[in-house]
Amino acid sequence: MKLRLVLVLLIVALAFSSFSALAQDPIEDWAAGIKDAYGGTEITVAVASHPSVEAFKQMIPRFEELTGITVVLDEMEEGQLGQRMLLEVSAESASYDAMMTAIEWSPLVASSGYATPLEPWIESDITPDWFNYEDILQAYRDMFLWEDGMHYGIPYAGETVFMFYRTDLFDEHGIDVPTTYDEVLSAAQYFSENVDGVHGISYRARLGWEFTYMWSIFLAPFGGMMVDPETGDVALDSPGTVASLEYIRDLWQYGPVGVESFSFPEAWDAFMLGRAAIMIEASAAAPEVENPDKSVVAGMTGYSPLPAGPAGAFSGVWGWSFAMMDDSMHKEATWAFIAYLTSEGLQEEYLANGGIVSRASALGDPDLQAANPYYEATLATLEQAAALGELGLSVVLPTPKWSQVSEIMGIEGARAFIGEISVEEAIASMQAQVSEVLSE
Amino acid sequence: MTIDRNARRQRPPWLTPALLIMPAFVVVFAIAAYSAVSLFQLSTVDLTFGEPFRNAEPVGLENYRWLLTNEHSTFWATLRVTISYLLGTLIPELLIGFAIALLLNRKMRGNSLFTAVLVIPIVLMPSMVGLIGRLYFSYDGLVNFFFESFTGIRHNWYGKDLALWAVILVDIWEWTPFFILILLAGLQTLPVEPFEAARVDGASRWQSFTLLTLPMMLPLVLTTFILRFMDVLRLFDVIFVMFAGGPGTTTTTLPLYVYRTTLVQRDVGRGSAASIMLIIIIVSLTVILIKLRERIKFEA
Amino acid sequence: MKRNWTSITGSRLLDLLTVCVVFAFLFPYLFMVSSAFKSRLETFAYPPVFLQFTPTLEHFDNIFNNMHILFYMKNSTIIAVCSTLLTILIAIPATYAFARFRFRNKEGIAYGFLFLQMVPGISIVFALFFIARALDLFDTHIFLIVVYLLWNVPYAIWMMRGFVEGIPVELEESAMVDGASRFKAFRVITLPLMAGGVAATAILIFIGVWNEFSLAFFLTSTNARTMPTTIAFFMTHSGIKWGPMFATATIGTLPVVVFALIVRRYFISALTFGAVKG
Repeated sequence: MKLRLVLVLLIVALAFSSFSALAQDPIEDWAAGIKDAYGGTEITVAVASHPSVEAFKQMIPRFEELTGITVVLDEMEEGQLGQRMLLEVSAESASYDAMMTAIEWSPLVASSGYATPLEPWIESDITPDWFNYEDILQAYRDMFLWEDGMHYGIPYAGETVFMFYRTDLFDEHGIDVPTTYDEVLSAAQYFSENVDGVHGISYRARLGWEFTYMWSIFLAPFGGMMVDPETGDVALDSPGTVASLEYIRDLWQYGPVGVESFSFPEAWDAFMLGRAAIMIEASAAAPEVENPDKSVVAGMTGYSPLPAGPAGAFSGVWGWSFAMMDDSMHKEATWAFIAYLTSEGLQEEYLANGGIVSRASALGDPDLQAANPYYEATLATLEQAAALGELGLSVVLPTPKWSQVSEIMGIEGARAFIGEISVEEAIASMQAQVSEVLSE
Repeated sequence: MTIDRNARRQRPPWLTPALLIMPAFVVVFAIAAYSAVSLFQLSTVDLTFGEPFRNAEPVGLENYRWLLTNEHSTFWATLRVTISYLLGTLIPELLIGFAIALLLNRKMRGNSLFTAVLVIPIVLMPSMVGLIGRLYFSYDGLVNFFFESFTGIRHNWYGKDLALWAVILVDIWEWTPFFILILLAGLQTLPVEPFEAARVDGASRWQSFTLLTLPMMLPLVLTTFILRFMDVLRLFDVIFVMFAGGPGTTTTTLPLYVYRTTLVQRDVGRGSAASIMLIIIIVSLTVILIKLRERIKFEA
Repeated sequence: MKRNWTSITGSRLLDLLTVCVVFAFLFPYLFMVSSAFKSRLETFAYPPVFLQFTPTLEHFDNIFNNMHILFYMKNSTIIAVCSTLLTILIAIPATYAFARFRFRNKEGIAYGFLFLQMVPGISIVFALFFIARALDLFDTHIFLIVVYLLWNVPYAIWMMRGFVEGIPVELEESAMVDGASRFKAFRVITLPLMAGGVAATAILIFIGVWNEFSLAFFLTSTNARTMPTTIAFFMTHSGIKWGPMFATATIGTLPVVVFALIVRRYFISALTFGAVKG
């Protein structure tokens, strides 16, 4: 309530000052121009249930007031949003002006012409000076780069995977933070066996994309890959792939009971409730872990980049962006909406509302680093992701068929994980099925 | 069925029932016929969900062949899970439901209130039932609390041995009230005279139950069973939210398989083919049940 | 005397058993309702917290003021009420025809209804999506109301047929011998007797529509979205929001429970035949 009052006062004050001092605020200056040109437009945006959207919801009223553009959000669970997107692509008609798209979907929306390339818009007059596209981390920007050299999304919620660990437990037992996957296994074993009510390591291993998400992190460190970057052939049957699958199966015995059915909420909760000593999970968990209303380990958690396997240390990037639909009748207003919310000028407000950090300026800010203990680990992990990219590999194959590949790997991998079939059978099956899908 | 006297005088005997059925016929067949045809068409093409439909490539019955014979197809494993799930849910639900309906069919203070509140498990949205199941069956959840209190052991309901049991227990909790509701309504409409006659003749309660209640209730019991049976083979929300079909494929039932294949793996052709086979399975099993129902009705 | 005594004790025991069984079915729900008033960490406590917690209303505040749950509830109510009424209206004549008349291919047509409703919604969602777009009915209440008829009408026919067939045909015949028209005999004799069956069927259909997810999700957008699609607000990228989910589940069950309480007299003992005293 108090915050709202302050905001209202602030807006009133700002509005007042714009009368008296001829709009000194660059944001209002820009918005006044937008209002003249595109005020009264209504745009519809499909979004997923995501912390960034919660942050945007608090920012949209001011955008509407400043620009006279009305924004209607259609909010869905992210899997459902993906299906809605697929249905619209199949039907070759868009009922939205903009859509929140994940890296996994970008090749499809780009190649099908559902989304429109954004370069002309980034360079257009509508884009305000305080947008600063180059400030968005390159690793995140390039997630939405398609083969034609154009970008099809403005990222605002990048995500990577790093290691969470309980500083109190590691100190108390005099154990060093693991820097290799062998050390992770032995540390996990130690805590499982020596601390009551605490398991070694938490992660997600549920059937389907969750399994693929987690496993894809472990591929490169063990020398595995999905597609050989040199020949372009499916290489799931490489020895490194087998080794990585066997490794995560070995981790299972030190995971919380039931980890074979854990999706990310269970994996995070196990760590946040103090039932796991280590967690290898999405960076999106960090703000939750640091929230004392949800987590008993807030302030007792350390963050480190991922450990090294026999073939090196690697991580990956995922993330969300706004894409603009090619069929949209209100592209100018839609672009104004996207540019406003994802701009550097509004970044501070976005982050304060619980948005996900995606810009170099914020990650490098010493004050923010001090307030958010995981910023440093994020930067270090992004270098690990870049190292993966230098090998020509990625955690998400840049193909419109990624969700098929991901489902096949997620099913066969999960079956091997619980011993329904052997690792060799699983690998052979996915090699055959993925080859079939990608060859079409 | 011999009271057509009035009608026969004025118009052909089929006219009245035809007029009565017409609205239902128009509504259902208009929507369903188009849908069923398009479903069959999709089952004979190679098409990825997310491509325009004009890209569909006809492949004949290849999708069916792949599902039934390919070594990487999990169709048969899925079918086995489906059968276990069917038996594990339907039979206990029927027996428990019938027993509770009999209990509630006695003169007792509050039984109408009890009946009304028993609809609650069916009313809860399936995806929420799934989430609740996911929480209650976790290792540190409500179910294990009771197990630990009574037996001293906690079980891993998320594991491959018990996951199917967990979803079955949730289904029993959710859907037994369906049987209670219908069977209780059926018990209420039973005529009272035969029971009074039997009592005068000195029949025991057990005798009047087996000789009167059971035969009179059988048609309704079978109808309820059939409707519920078709629901089990159609609904997958609870399993999907609880375990997504895992761990491994231990809880992947046929409807869930159809969903995953069509919308997640985006193979519209194979998904539709699996869907057609699911319908064939439902239809054949239902025909058997209906034949059974008719024979019983005949004898009664 | 002695026999009377045992039967009273037995009856008391059965009463007790009934209460226990009903409570067992209700317990998970009651625990869930109590969780709607708990903080997040209390939800996860082991052993579970049953009564020793400080109730909070923040989750209800959240769903009403941030998630606007009433908007979705309104849509659900419109669609479920209309679809149920329409279903019953269309299904009653058909049910009566199947139960009381003899005509060619009767069973064949009845099975036809039954089998058509087996088409899984998810497999024809594409087809329906295209129809909706073509008729400009996408994201409207009326389209969902009509689409649901496909499943509900056959369901209702089959469910109610069992009840009508259970009513002795002689009752109607004797009314008609007394000079009543067929319609009057149906209205005065059969309809009141099948009220329990109609009520039970209506409740189940209402619940089915109220809870349907796939079609409601794919065929609506911002205008006609229903309650089940709000699951998105609880399964978020930052975890599951248990408190608001429990609060919504609590609110979502209320209308149907109230409805069931209102029509409960139709389930129990209010019928002319009375209950079987067995």
